[in-house]
Amino acid sequence: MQLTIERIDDVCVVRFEGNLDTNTAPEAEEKIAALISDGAGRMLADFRALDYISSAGLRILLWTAKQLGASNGELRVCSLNETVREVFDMSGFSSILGVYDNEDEAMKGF
Amino acid sequence: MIPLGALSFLGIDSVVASRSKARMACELICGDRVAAARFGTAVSVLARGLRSSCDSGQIELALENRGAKWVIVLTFPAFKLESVPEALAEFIEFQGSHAPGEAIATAYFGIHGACASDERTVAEVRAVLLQRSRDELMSDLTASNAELRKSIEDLQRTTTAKERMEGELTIGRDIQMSMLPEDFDAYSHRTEFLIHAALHPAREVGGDFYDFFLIGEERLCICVGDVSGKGVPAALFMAMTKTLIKSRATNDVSPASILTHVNDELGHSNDSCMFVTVWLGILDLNTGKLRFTNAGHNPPFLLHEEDPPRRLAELHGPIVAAVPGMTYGESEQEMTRGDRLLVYTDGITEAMNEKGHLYGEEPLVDCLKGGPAAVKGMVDDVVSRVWEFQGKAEQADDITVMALSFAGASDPATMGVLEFRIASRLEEIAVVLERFQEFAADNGVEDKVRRTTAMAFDELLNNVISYAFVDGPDDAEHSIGVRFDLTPTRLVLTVEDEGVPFNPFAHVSPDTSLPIAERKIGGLGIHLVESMMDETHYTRKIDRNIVTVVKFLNQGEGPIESE
Repeated sequence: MQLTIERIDDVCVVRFEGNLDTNTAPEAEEKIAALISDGAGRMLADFRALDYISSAGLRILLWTAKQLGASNGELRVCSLNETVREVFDMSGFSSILGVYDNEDEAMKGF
Repeated sequence: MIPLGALSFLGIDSVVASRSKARMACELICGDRVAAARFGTAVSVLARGLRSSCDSGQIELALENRGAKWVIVLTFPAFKLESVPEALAEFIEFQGSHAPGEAIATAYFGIHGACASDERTVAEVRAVLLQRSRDELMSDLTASNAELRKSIEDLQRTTTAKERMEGELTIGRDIQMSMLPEDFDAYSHRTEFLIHAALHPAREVGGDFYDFFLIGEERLCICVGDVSGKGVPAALFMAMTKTLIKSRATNDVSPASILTHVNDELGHSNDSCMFVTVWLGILDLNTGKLRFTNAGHNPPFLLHEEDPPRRLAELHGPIVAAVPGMTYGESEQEMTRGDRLLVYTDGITEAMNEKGHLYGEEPLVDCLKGGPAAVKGMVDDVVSRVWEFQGKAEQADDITVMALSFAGASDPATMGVLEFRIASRLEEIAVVLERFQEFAADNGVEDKVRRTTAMAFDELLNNVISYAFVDGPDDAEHSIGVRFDLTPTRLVLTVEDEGVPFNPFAHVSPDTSLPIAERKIGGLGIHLVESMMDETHYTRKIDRNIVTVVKFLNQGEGPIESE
């Protein structure tokens, strides 16, 4: 699992690569927590290179969305592959997070 | 002689009524109340006497003119002498027999003075005699009411009892039929075989049964049995046998060992001396090897290519439940692509027509020779020919037929198995997933299947490691067995642990429609596995939890025949 972080305008873009599961989630959580404590308000998680996600990964996303929401921020996600998209649909995450086709779409009106 | 009418002397009410009727009739005729009273008493005494002497009958009254004198003539059945003498004293004359049943007797009551024999008086007398006394009417009414009530009650009672019995038998039949697998498409995703069966009990419930189920991923267990006798006792024994076989088969892959065990169980508490014939086979779906045990059952037929149907004639021991402590044997038979097997009960071969002839084995063989190739067609054809033979004769025994067709052993080149153990620590999941990714890449598993399965693996192992051991996760004492099976049609993951009994799928699905602030993550992982994998199974085997999840592959051969 690798995370690449880039700031575009005021949005913190986090690009995921690999898997977000039981073993990789703690590391991702640590990095995202650091971003939030550094003042990140709006965050875009780009899943273009994310192979799959399990509920341990969903837990990080839920935690992040709650943290950002508490300070009027927002978490958006984009570029989900078919499997990740299915996990989002099955878990109901598609309806609680903004899901976009790609980074450009996600950045519109962010 | 002018006939006046008759008085019944049966029943206490009739005797009482006869006195007043006779008195009134006599008074109408002679106007002498004293004579009428004497006549009434005499008639009632006669009636009482006759009642004790005769089974049925009546006293007929007539008026006769004898010159200047009139008499009332009483005609009645002959009687035992001792029963009426005091009555006879009132009569001026008596003729006839004292022997019951021989003849009729006649007694004459003399009338002194004038006698009214005019039409009007005679009509009045007749009306009096015809009249049913209030008591008689009342008693008739009461009697018929009571009779009616009783017959209604009887009817209700028998109807209720019969309905209840019929209702219970219908329920029994439903329960019994529901014990038999009737969904022949349940394994339609398994391209290795097709199966079909039919069971027609001779009565509401019966003693035949069939069963088929998978043991693990690679073995198909099929069995057909026939309990001695019919009806409810046979049905109960059948239920026991079928249940014992299935519960044993989940932990045993040898037909001989399964039947040896079932025979012991049934034989040791078998006061009613029932028994059951069983044919039980276990087919290895990867290799086509069929191991079977025949315990006193009709030998099944194997159909291979164009060869004539061949009996699997081997017998491996006596009927089940008769001799506890027996050890059964087993045989092995290779099945190749397209081979079919027909297992049946003697309800087929011993079906009887109206002339009392038995169906026998030959017509069955003929039927199989030229019959349909599809399993359902085979079963339907066999059964309908038996019906045809039977004609209007009553079905004597339960009829059961089961057909299996095998699509051939899997090509070892398309198969993959990887099995290993890991310590019960969350970090080990990464090891499993790495090996799985390699396995998937080596075997060309498509991306979507690979990703979904990896996700499922993460969830299952996380679940087991977190919950299966009372000591909690990260206890190096425990290990977990992991296995991947790849067949042309399925990717199967198996996770096996020795922890406390724990069924991950026995939980309430999380509410995935809650808003973000209220969402919790618990239970979500298993929900994802259930939603995204095609099959999920949990079994507890002795001291182990075994969780199996399956993802279907969109490749491989289709079924060898279509129904």
